[in-house]
Amino acid sequence: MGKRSVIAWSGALVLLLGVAQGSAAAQETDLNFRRADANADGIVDLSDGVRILLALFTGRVGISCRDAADTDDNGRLEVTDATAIFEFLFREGAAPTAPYRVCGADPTPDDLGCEAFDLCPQGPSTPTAREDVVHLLNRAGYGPNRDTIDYVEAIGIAEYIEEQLSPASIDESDNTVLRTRENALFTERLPAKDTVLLPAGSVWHYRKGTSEPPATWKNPGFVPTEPEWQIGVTGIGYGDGDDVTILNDMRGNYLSVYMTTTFEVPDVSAVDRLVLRVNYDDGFAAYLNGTMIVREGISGNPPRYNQTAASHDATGAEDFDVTARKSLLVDGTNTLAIQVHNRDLDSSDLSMIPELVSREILPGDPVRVIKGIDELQQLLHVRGIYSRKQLQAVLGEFWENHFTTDYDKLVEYFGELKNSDANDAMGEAQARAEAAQVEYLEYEFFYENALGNFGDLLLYSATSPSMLVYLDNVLNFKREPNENYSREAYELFAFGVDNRYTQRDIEVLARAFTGWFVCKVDPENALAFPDSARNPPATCGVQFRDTEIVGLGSGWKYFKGTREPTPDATGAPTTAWTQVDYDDSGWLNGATGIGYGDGDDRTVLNDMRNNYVSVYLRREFTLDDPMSVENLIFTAIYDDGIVVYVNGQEIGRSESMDDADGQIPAYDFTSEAHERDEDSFDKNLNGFRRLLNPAPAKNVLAIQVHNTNIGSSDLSILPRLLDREILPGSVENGDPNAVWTFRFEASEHDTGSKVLHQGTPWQISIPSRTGAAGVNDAIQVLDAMANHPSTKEFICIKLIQRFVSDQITLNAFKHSPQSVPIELRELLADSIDAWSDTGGSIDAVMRVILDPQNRESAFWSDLARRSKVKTPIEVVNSSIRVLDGLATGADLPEITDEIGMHFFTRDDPDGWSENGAAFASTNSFLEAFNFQHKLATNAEAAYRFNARQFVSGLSTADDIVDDLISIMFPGAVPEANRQILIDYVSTSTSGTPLPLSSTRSDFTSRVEELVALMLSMPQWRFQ
Amino acid sequence: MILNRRDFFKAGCVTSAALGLNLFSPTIFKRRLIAQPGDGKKKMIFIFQRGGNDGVNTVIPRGDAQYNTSNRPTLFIPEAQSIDLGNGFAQLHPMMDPIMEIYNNSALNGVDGPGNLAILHRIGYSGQSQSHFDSQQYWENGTPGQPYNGEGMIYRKVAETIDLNENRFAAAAISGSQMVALSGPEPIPALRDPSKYTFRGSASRVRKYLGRLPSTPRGGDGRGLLGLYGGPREAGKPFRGKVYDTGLALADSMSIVQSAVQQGAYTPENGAVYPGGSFGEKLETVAMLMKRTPVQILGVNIGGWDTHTRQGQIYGNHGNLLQNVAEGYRALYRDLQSMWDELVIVTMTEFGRTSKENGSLGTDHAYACVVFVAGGGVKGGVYNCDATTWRSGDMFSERDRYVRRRTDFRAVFAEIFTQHFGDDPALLDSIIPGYSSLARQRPSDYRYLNFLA
Repeated sequence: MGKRSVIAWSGALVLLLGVAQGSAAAQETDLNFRRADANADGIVDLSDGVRILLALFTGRVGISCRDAADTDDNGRLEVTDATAIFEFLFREGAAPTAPYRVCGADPTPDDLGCEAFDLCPQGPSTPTAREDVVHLLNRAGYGPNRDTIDYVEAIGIAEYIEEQLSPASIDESDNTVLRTRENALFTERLPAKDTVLLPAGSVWHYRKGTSEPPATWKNPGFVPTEPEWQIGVTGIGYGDGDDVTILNDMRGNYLSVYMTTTFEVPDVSAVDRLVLRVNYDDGFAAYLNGTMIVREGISGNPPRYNQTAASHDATGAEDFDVTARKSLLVDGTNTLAIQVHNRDLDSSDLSMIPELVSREILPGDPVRVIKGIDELQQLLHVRGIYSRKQLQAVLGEFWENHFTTDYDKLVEYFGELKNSDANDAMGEAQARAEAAQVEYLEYEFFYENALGNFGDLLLYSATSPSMLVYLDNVLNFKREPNENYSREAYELFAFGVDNRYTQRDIEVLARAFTGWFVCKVDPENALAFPDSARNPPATCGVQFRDTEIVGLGSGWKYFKGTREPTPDATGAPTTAWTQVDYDDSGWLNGATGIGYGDGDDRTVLNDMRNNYVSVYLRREFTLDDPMSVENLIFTAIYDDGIVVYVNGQEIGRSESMDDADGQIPAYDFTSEAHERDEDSFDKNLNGFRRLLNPAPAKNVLAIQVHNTNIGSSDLSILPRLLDREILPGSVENGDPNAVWTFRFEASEHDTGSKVLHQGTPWQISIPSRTGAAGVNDAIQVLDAMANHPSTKEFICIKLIQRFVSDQITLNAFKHSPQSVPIELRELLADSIDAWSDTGGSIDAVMRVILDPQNRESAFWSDLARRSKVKTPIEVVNSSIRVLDGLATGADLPEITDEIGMHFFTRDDPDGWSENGAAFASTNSFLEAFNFQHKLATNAEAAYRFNARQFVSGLSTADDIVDDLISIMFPGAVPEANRQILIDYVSTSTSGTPLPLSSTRSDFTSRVEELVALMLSMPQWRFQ
Repeated sequence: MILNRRDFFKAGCVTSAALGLNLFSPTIFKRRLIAQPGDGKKKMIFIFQRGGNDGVNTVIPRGDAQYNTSNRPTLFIPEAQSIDLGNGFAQLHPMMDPIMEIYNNSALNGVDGPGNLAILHRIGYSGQSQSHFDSQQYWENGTPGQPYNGEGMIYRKVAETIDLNENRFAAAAISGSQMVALSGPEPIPALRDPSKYTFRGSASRVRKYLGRLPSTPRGGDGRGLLGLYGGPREAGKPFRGKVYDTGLALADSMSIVQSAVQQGAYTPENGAVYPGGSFGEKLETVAMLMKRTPVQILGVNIGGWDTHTRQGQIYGNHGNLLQNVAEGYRALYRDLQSMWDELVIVTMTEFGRTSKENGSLGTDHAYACVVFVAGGGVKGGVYNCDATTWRSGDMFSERDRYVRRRTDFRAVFAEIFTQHFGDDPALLDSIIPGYSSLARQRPSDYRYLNFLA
């Protein structure tokens, strides 16, 4: 073929030239096309002539644009149209008649038509005023709806943008839908103080439910007698790893367990509210002084011993407010009795860990707290759909996603904290509630400061408890810096990937961030930003005083685990050696620490390595009045695993030992290694105080210590028993009234001098700072980063990508700037200027991006319009919003997740892509279509659509379709597509033509199905 | 690489018993000249371990004296508790015991043999990135150094060797979002649960909703969803191909997947038991689709490998993940015996982890890592982890911190493409851009390990 036989052309070229052509209102036959491209594939070649011949002679192929096939534009389709193409291609014949080099409409009226020619730009080249409005609402908000379009058309685009840039000026006082929906996501929490009346991990009597116990078992004064009733410590159960007293014979044998214990209440009148806190599996009934107070997952009063319960997993303690029954309490000794039931005999687990709490409501204002993480996720939808502050809602989401953190990691972190009394600081439920509130406060700052100063956003994020935990600054220690946060500060939050920083900068910045931790303070001591960041507290309010009952040193007896100390007849281990009256006179004398290999041992076991893996310890002690010990705490530094007993009762074992139930034989290894400098084993023993004998009678603390393998290089045990007095004013990790805040600990800060961005014009030299001033190391860097050219560039590009076009990214701009359209590069330069002029005002940058006066800007240019694919949250919010749908917010986070996006719980710190095309997958489309069908057909209670009301005043198919198009995507629907919609609503389900009529009973359902189809149109995926 | 961009229209008709529909089969993909169409029988399952697997505790270089308790105080696994791999050097994490069934047996005939599991150590690439985002991208796009190349290496393998107009379900990801490895101009389906991979509503509603394709590509005479997605597209605007083609690929793949679902509940064969949890469920879906559809390549993810803190020694986070993978391999091995000779199951992960344990009882991002390959044609054994190639101290051969790679991951996949699928080696430059010149520059990185020889 000759050189000009195939003329490749690019859509972009045609677009630019095609726009210049202009054309008035497009009708079906006025579509723009390219002459001689009969098969509309973008190339004029042999196949076009062949297509014409096949169409003329076989009729088996169609031609979608007959005007294009009319090569000589004589108004007739004939063989010469094909031969003219061949002449042109191979014999230097005449070029096809215009429009040939560029797309255009047919200049001569004829009977031929052009139904489709998708490779040419169609429609009017000048956007209508309606298209401008919808474009603006698509970008500066979550899409159009009827009311907002009317509003913008009434006040004008410039005025609307001005309003959006000053959200405080927007009056939402009459926006009851928004207020109602938002308020439903929050609850008011009264400040309260909890006092534990009966702790988890208390001593109970329990009886296996192999038969019905006497009716009096739950009453005060009932005397449980052995062997029917045994003594055990909660949790009681089996199979799920949270049990201390393990019922190895329960599975397959009996369904229930009966438990009873007593507790003291000095003054009933001091009990304000009464809460039964239970971690349970599967069902239970609880009795206070003989009367049932709570029953869950089981029926009957009392339930019979062989009843099954509904299935329920012990995933965390749950609170049951039993204040209404507090009149059952008496001064002095009270009885709590519980029967716990399994769901069936073969159940894999059972758990019961009860706690009884007296709650005092403190003076002070109630706190507005988000109900949970799902409600927080709903808040993004509720604001996005209903708020008039649309730009603020979009930017709130944008910053939240930019400075992304992970709720799940926060829950895990809170869940592992302890109070100074050595009890877990909080249960799972409180950890979830506090993590959700921390995430809410963080998001709310981004929302409130969405148009504020970038430096504030960056500093807030760096010091927010959620970020400090998420990217491990709380694990960033002087001796071992953790680079996680400092790397992402450069890569993701400020500079952008590979944008003028080095690995060395990351390492130095990590050192600058050492000493950055979190803690809780009383609300009245909490500082507001920026003080919270620039003048953080040094210490938390935890205050206590320890008195040693058993300290380190002499007085211990020990036994080398070369054999079982007290085997039974079969050689299996028993707890006889842990009993008070066990004769340990044959044991060796020693002082703690005991062990070898790591230099902390006073009693060195030189023969242990490669010889035996366990050692047994006993220590006698006396206490005048065990119940008067405020907090009885066992604490031990250990390597590698321990099981601890008091007076013959196991009080706990290290994680490295809890893979096995029951007695651990002397020869067992631990399941994992544990070093002496890792977390110590701390256990509150208040629930065991009743096991202790008052002086002069003796008590015995007994410990078995195991190694992780026979050849291990070390073993350690340094145990202590403490009486810990919590001092007034102590603010504990678990205090529900206190709030999480950034804390700077100077002793963990690397005080060395530091240099960053060395050798660049932006070099930062940090002097050696000691004490509280050390916090300024990283703040100095953050302040400088906020106005570094890389940050301006990266953040402005990201904003332009969000609001204007995906044709700009940092990578494209840095590496092939010519690939970025000139309009976008100009907009970037203007945005950066606005940033520089204002020191990082996002408001100033957004004014440049959205400038309504500058009609030549990228935002109003054709390259921006309908060029972005919606992200999942945009799909969900815009679909409900455009229909004036009634959504509570419920279900929407799950739907958005299924379409591909979830906020506050993303694992990766890079946030979701601003390019909606990144979410396109067949599964994502399917989930979106099914959601949109449910929405349009009013199939769910959580999000509703009133079709009849929406189209009121309209009755014909054409009117309804045109009305919807004019709201959803004006100017974007070719006539062929419009016809599909009209046909769709004008046929029955079986496909028979049946005109739409507002008097027919199927009117509503047909409109609903039409709307479902329109929401799943390709055009609705764009904005 | 794109040989011909012209559209062809192919009148076709896929009958979907599941939907009770007659769908016109859209020619949604630009027809390529397939250089060398395979016979369609060879299959591959790839498993991406997201987060970076600690290769040193997965396949332990016992012969390296640096594998010790001072470098790995809480992670060190003693020799007595490790699984010996028989070469006097390498040992396997004890929780991976289930995978030994493949290592020790070439078929379910009870005969011990060289086995069908190749364990490849020290796999990586030059210019290793320690960013999750970049390095996952590189393993998936096959072009390290180009983080913004969103086209997948395995996608290109599919596009170059399988006619996607003939086989509308040649490849898929068991994932809600598409994996980069399978991303490209033509949409490869992604799905979570086959039974839910369908439109809601009655059959007649779905039939009307789907409608029909136009009689000519991008023509205006279609109906319903297919008419809209198969109809005219706005010119000069970005992402039109992506969005419209994805809509069409959804309709196509849905009819094939629903035909498979309609065959009834799936029962694994040969005593295969898939591990609990979502990973096991995904693998069971993989097996079902492998048996009931024409799919040739399936990808799945397993997350959680970023063990910076509390990695755990034998039991714990890392051990649980390894057990999940090993049980998954064993289940696929048993369940897919009928196609074992046609199958390769391969793992990917963006990097290994630091040879020295960190201060948080875990390990940080590092360089080379371990790849497992199983299949009927696989010559079992340990590669790149033996006394001849691994000198003591090699655990710190890269920057005194990491294990240095010995083989480029692209060579591993090149071997799979050419030796397993039988692809023409000349195609490699299209599938793995720059392959032949890279192989010339760094012959040792690209020498085949010959685990398929």
